[in-house]
Amino acid sequence: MKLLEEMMLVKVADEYMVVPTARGTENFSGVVRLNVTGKDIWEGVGQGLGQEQIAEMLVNKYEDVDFETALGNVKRIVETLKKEGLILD
Amino acid sequence: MKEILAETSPAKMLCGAQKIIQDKSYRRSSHIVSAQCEDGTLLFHTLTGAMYLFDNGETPEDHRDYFIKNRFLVPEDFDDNAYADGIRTAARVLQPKHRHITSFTILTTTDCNARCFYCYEMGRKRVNMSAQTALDCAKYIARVCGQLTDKGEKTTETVSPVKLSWFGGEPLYNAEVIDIITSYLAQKDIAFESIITTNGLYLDADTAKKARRDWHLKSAQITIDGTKDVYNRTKAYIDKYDDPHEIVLTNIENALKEGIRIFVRLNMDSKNADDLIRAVDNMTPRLKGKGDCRFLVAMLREFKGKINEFDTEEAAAEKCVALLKKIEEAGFDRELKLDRELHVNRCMADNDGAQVLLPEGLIGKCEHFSETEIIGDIYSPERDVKLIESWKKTLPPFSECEGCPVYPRCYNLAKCDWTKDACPQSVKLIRIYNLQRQMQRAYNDYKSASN
Repeated sequence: MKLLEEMMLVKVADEYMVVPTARGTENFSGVVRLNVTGKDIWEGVGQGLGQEQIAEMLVNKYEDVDFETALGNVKRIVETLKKEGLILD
Repeated sequence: MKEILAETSPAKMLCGAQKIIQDKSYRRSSHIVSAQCEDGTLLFHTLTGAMYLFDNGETPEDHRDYFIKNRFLVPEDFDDNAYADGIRTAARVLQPKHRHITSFTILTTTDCNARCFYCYEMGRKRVNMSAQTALDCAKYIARVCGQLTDKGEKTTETVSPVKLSWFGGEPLYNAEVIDIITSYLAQKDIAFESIITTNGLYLDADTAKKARRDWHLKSAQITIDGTKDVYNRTKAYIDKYDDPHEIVLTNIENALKEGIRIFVRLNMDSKNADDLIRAVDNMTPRLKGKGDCRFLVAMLREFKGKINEFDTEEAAAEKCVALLKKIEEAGFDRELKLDRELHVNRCMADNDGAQVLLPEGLIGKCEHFSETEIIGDIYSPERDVKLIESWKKTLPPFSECEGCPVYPRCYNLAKCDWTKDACPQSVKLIRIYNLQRQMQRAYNDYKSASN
């Protein structure tokens, strides 16, 4: 898994946005809004982590989430971002 | 309640509809300016560009869900300024990269025939651009503006016309440079237009004619510091004239006749504030109806951005608003359209499509820095990229920015002497006043279009 190149993560108050740079608009137009969990997942993929590794990271970060729930969230968000072409295999 | 202006497309894309959270307390966004009109109250969102009319005593709170979605109402604990910064950062990232340099501020000289006491260039070296350097600048502009191919032929690509801004010193003190540059560009069939910042003393009838014809001069900004005696004393021209004030006013009339738009800049401090009101009265019969002439007010302040001359900020704002009202009554107000766009650049300094060409053929990023902040020269493609990027660094909000309705319009560059301190209260009040006038005009336009 890897992130589409030339995309930038921007913090907007309590939210996050993934925005293409000028070069990135050749491959993707528009913006994607992420909450904090989405941001963590985005950064995890950017670091080269697999889905289960990202889920473990979330469990360590957020005490009130179990591994199954975290993995479910990761899979769901990764699937959505893959459909948009922002995460590549 | 009526929508007068919808949010802009970039704002719609970037902000989106705000989610409504049940059982959450909401308050009005701090980025809203209100203005009264004959039909009620106008509310304008300075980040999204949306404007609504509230009549019959209605408020956004009466349409809670609708105005939560469009961000006129925000959660109690919402950080308005941080949100605006994030949106503008995203907008900036989305901005198309400049492929060409199309905007040039050219200092034909750093010398000047006036000795204004407030000039920030006082004490600097007086350097004239030579004829050879002018020609080299013209060739440089032709190379980088994108209108010619590498072989020097006109490109089929759609490119903006070159925008030239003549600056100085006093740019007309070395007008030959302007002739050389514009003549070369015309020869190469490069589309260009220009504007000038000048004291106007040398903008006589022949020069105005030539400026319109050969320099493609669209507008000139000319400073008037007061009535005759105040003006002549302030300018302290080094050449002896009987009445430079009269010469400049005549030159303004000539330039208007040639179809050049004139911005009369009224530089104000506490000493000439009342005199400027008289100056507007004196100029009105001469300039009214003679062409496209507009007056603008500039608060004189030390280059560090602090107003020293007025006892209080409120006193400064009061005098400035009085002058703005006088200008409006006289019919010389700028009639600026309501600016609804997301502000992602401040000026030439953080705009990759703009450069300052200095008399020695050096290249800078800010017209106020003629001896430092050099990023390269017209002879070499090497650029100081680190220095260029340093100009884009912005400051975090000042404590005074908390709750400021015009914060989304501010873009404080860390290196800019005008913005590195928090703006004085008077400047904020003037900005809001101008915005309110623009809102009222936008509403009148809406009404006219609807009828």
